[in-house]
Amino acid sequence: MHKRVLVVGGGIAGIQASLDLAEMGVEVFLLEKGPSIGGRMAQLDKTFPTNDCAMCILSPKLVEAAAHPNIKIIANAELKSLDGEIPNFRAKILKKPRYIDEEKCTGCAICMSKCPVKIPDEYNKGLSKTKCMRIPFPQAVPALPIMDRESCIYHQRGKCRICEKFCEADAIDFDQKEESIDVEVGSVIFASGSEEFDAAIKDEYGYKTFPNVLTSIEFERILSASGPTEGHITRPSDGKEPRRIAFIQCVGSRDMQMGNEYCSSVCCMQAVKDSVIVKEHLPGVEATIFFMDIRAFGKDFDKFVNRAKDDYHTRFIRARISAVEIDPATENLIIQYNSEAGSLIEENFDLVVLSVGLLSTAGIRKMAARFDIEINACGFARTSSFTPMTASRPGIFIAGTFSGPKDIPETVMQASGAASAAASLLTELPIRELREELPQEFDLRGEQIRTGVFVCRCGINIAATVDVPGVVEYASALQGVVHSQEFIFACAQDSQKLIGEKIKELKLNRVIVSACTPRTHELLFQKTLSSSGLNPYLFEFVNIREQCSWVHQKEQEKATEKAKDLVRMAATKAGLLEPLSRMSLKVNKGALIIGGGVAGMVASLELSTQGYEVFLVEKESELGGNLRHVHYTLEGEKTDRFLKSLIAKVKKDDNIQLYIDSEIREIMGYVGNFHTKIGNGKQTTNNKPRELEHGVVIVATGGEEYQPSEYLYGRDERIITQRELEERLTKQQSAIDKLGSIVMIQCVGSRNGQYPYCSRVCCSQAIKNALKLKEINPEVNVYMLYRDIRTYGLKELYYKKAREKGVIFIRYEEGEEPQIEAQNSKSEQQASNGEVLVKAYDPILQRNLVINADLVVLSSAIRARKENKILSQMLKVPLNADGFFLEAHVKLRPVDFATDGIFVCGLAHYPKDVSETICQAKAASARAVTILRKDEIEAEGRVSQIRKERCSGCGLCIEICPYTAIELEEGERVAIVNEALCKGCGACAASCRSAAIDLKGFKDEQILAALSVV
Amino acid sequence: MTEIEMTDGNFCQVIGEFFKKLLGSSIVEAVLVPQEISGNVVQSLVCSHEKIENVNPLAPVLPVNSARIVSKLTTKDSDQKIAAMLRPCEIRALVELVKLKQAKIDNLLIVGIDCFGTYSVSDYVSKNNEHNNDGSVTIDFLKGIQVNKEISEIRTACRLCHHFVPENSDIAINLMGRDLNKKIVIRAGSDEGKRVLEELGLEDTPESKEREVAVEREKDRRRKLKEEIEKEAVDFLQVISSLCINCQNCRNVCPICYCKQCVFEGPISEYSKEKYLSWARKKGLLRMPEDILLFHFTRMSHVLTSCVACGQCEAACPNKIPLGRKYHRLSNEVQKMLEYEAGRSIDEELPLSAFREDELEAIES
Repeated sequence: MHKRVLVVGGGIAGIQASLDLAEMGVEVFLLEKGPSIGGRMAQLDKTFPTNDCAMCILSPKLVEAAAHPNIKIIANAELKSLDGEIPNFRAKILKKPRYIDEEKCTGCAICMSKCPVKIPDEYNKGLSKTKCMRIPFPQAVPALPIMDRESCIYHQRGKCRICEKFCEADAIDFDQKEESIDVEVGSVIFASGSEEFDAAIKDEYGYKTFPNVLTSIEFERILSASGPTEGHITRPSDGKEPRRIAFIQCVGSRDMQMGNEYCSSVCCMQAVKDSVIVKEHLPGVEATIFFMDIRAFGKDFDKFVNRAKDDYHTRFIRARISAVEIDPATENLIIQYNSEAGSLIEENFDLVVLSVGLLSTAGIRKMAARFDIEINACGFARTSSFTPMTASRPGIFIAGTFSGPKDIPETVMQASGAASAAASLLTELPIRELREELPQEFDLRGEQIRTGVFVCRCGINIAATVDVPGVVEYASALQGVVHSQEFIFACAQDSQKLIGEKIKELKLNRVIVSACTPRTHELLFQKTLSSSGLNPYLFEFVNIREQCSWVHQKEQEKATEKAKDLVRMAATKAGLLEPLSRMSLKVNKGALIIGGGVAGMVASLELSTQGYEVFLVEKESELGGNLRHVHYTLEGEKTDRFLKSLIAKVKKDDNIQLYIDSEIREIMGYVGNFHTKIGNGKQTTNNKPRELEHGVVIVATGGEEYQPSEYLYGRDERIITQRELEERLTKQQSAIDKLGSIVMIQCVGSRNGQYPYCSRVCCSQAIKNALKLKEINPEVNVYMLYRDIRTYGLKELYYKKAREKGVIFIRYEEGEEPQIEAQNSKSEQQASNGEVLVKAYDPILQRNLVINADLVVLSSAIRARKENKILSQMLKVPLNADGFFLEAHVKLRPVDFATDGIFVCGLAHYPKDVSETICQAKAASARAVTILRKDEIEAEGRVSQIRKERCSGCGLCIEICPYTAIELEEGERVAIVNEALCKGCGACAASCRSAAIDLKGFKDEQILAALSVV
Repeated sequence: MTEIEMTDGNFCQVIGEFFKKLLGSSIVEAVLVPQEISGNVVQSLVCSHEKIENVNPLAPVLPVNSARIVSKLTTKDSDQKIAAMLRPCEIRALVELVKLKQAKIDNLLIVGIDCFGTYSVSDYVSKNNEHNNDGSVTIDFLKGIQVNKEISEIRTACRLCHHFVPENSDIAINLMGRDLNKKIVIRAGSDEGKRVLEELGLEDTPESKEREVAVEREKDRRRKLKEEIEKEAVDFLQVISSLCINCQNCRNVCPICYCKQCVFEGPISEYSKEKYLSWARKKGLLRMPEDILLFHFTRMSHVLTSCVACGQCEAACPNKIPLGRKYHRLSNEVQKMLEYEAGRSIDEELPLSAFREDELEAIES
């Protein structure tokens, strides 16, 4: 048997795990209980903090999963049983009937249009109707209809069969039965997700009673262009646009009554994002968020919250809402709340959105029990901080919200990490070698130009503004065009199939798609061309969504006219397109890992286990990084032991070449072929080669503790940082015993004007240490001065515990930071007998407090390393404004860089705890293996080309190229392009004064030809 | 600093002697020096020292910016060392060309000289003719300068120039602050220059006070000239529209225009008749040739960051479009904005290839 893994759950976690495994050469069975993969992400409108459209970034992944030869999607199915052990699991899958013959169905959806029965549309949370026979949503994968047996007239009353009458493919099968599928796999990943809290249980909020109270997911659907109101924000009771919207946070989360004590992690940012989006739709609207703490703990989240406050005027009101009342006359909603000053305020809203939490249900618990997966007190799969994707049952791994609430990037990281962990179990098994067989490309020599134009309606996204049939008709008359047609969704699987058919049937040799953006969808269409025998570069993408329907939303005629202009330009350019070939390059199987902290070591071991050589470079004289200063986790696990065994494993691993006391001098080359020079270390490592060849780079350089300049730190020994407190708690408990009063100050060096980001771990760290203090001496008084307590996810339980143990939490506002006065300076003899006075303003008591402290503990920020800048320049990868490495995409590519073959994990990316660091390190290894396991990779086809006769060899292009793809050929004094490195960005072509550089596919004559027709 | 006493008041001959010595010492294979040829003074590449007969580096004329010539001589690899006598604007253009990899100075000994400005070639030649080519034009010019006499025929570019002292030269010939009838001063500007002077047996002595004063005085004089010129307003677009005949001479003489083939000789300027008509229809009329403004703007965008304001473009314009003045102002503004100065230093990165996070704040705000 070859490497095989079963992935249970087809949300973004399952999809990412499947794609990574598939690229690692593992055959994947992707099991989904619903009719389409996509999960909850498919229902979201936009994603924070970049406001990328969720479906737009997800849909290419859906298509990729569907098209990958190593992935078999089994939708509308359930896992019945799972027997056996590593590497011989036997899974029994029950595939429920769709009442469609999947082999015959073309996904044309005529059945859906003819079906007479309307049922509530689950995809739109029941806010609109769909048909009993329906494709769940336009981008669904598989793009097949499913019949709801309970609503089907024929099934219930024995009459109808209209769908069958219209189905030309003869694909309707009323008698379809459940099917049992047995698969044998080496490992299983559970990415089965969580459920949303049922807001009706909290009847005080009036959900399902008052029409204008919605859940956050319902509101996502309302915001979405593909939602029940087609993106028009109206309230259910009267279809009017709301002017005042309230978001109530923590509905079913942080709620002891409901038994859900944890925080759902994502709802704060979701509400903030929705408040911004709603304002963009309806400029006059006023959005108010009622919250307890704003938990903007992720990368660039606080900046987003600040933008919502400052630019979109979202109101943030710190109040726990006890009930929502209705004004029966207007169906407006009345919310009463206590201001922090204590006065009772009543406000009237047109619409109330309940930010419902994510939770584990009885069904999920039962399922976990059936497969021997232990769950924790909150009902989520139990994992440890050191093995954050490993389930209790050996050979089973967890990804996504099944192990607790988390946002999309965390989910994607855990999914990639789980893929790596699963693959590491199966190293003994051979990979499944599959070569995608592409048909021979047509020979175009001597052929007339035959162009096909396909115009996408994008549901209503384009068609509501641009006259799509008009554009289709216009295109049909353009020179060279032999076919033109429209699609509701050009990206849908059946549309791809149809484009392929048209290419063959009409001998099309140029294809134009007028749709959304090439950024997300070009590759998809190019693949369709390749699999139809057409060179993928004989393709032009016209963006009529952003450039027409979006920017000219209010000028429909002009939008249509512009769409026609753009199609005409594309058709003219298409005639000059040439077939391009892609260079393939060899891959060196070694990996360079920079940084010997937990992230670097975990990644090293993971890659070594999978059989790759690792060069681990650490600048200090010992391994361990920041974890050397952490001694236990919030959950009480001992980190010292873990770190010790990790270091021991790394040291004795034969595949890992360790370079301590060493630094990177130079990194040259590109994906698959890097050359690195290591700077001189000490004698111990001198005998190893200093020049390395490797195929990938993982950046795991960590972060560093901010050394505060505020609060008298460094000037009085009674002012220490959390890290110093933790050292004392572990090593000098006796000194702690005598303390009577300790004040902790949060956000020292975080969330300020210069460093607007949240350091993410300090709240948990402070609570961890506060609990330890209470454990050592229950009599000690611990005061925590905070701005928002950000114990996201299950960490919330420890916040509650700290309150129970008597830790006193006092909030302070930005700008009203506590003041510290040391009565005795440390130079005096008995310094510790004096007092440190901490003065703070308590917004609840509305008065100034003075606390006498024996010790003041500063929760100081995590800073990006200053050296990041040098390394980022060497690698030519970006940093964000705060100096952390900036990944390729904050949602779906959280460990990749835009430059191939370079990955990031750990604190180098952003502050995170040890468990998240391990997740990301394994994710980075998974992504690295997708490259390392290949012998060759293909480069880009649209690359720069030098016209030697025009090139003066001035070298400006060399300086400008972001990928170091150009060199000067000294003899001839002309620039030469390394096609393997060139990404086709065109910066060189644009900057060349001599017009000596052509970007293939965007040559001057092609662009000028397009311009000449406008 | 080496002081060379003037024996008979003929400084040209003294400088000629210096170059002869240089050639004879076999430090260099050849020297590039301005020599008189039938009424004009042009650069010549001299290998044999008896051919150094009519050296006249002080003649107030600059037919071409010699950075172009050095580019020709040095881009292809060569071990033979040559010396080149260059005016400050030529050295500055050369510095830019080196950064643009269009010239090399590894085997070049740059001999710079103080510049008091130049006449246009036609003015110089006709003055010379009036005086029967007896060399008195140069002498009168320098005498005039010494007594602060205003010489109105000097090219606008020279009158605007504030870089009249050679920088980045290996050896500098100092004229300012000296009594040219008595002595000229040769100084080393680099280690290489020092080595050469030593080898020639010439002594290096310190800078004098008089020179500093003279340089400051000259700066003042130019500043006043500049202000005067800037008072005259020119509507550049209008002037181009009416006077430019698209001969592209400005491009051909520009030391910074280094392309093998100008983009305007490519498909960018080829259109169909229908295209011309459609443009004409839109506005009612179309000025022909139609891409004159595009040509000038493109050229500006290509050269402004490296422009040394030598004014050769203006000198070459048959219709006397005040290009030099325009380029002087624009290049100053652009370079100031980019905190860059063309010709200042070989080590200063070209603005287009350097990225600084804090640059262009003026534009952002």
